[in-house]
Amino acid sequence: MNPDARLRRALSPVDPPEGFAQRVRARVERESRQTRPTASRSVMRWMAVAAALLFALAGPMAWRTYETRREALAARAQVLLALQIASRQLNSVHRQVVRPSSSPLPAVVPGDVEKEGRP
Amino acid sequence: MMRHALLTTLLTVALAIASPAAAQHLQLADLGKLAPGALNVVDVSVDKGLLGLAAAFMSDADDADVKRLLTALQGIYVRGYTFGKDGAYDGAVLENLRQQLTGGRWARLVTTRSVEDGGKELSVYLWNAGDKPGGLAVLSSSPREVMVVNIVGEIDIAKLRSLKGQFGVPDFDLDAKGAGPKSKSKR
Repeated sequence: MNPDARLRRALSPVDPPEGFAQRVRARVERESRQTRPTASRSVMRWMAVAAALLFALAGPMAWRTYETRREALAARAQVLLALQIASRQLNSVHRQVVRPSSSPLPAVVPGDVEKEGRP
Repeated sequence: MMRHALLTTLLTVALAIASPAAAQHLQLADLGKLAPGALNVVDVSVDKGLLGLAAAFMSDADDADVKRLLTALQGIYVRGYTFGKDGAYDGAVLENLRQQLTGGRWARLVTTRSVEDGGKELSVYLWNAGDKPGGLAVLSSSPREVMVVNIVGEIDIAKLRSLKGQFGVPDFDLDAKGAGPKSKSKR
């Protein structure tokens, strides 16, 4: 068979097998159904909403906790400074009153104990 | 009319009972006049709420003594002013304070004057509330410095004295001559 005839035979129109069009349509329909949103996608969406909500609620709470902690640490520093000053003042009095002995502060009795410092 | 008077009296008594620490709390507002001319200012006001908050953030291991001391306190108030030259402040502002400390159950425990410390006068007052002092006031004044400490509540003076140097805060060189507090603390 010459090449010309072989080519003509190869390119000659051929009818599709019976039911081919129906099978194609069925397959297209099946695949388009598979691409629709599934249950797992819906869950993901709700989880994203829940995460956003949680962030919106937990954010201010976390900020409040941070602020409370900051205030408490500032108060702690103030208290320690105040006690240090008070302690130093009392020790200063103590040094002058009992110098050079090391006896404790006089008893807590209303009254005056005055001492002039030596130049 | 009679009922009104009775209600007023009851209200006054109720308020007095509700705030037993009010009398120990000195009015320190006048001292604020010293602030503009001062080189250094210490202004600490810690009421009961803040004391509780501060105590909650103190560790049991490091601050155990301080925590124990704070439990009975109602408030701590400190005002300190250091000036650059002698006589830079009006001593009259301290008179109001001394007036407050002559009334109520305040009793002056001791006053010292030291020429070595540039004429520094230091007075310690205690609020007599039975077995233990119900408050403490310390007035310290020298030509260049004024320091007032007012502790409201049951105070153990021996414990307070022993706390010196145990704090987890930088050491303020308050004893040095001519050097005031290096911290400027304001609330």
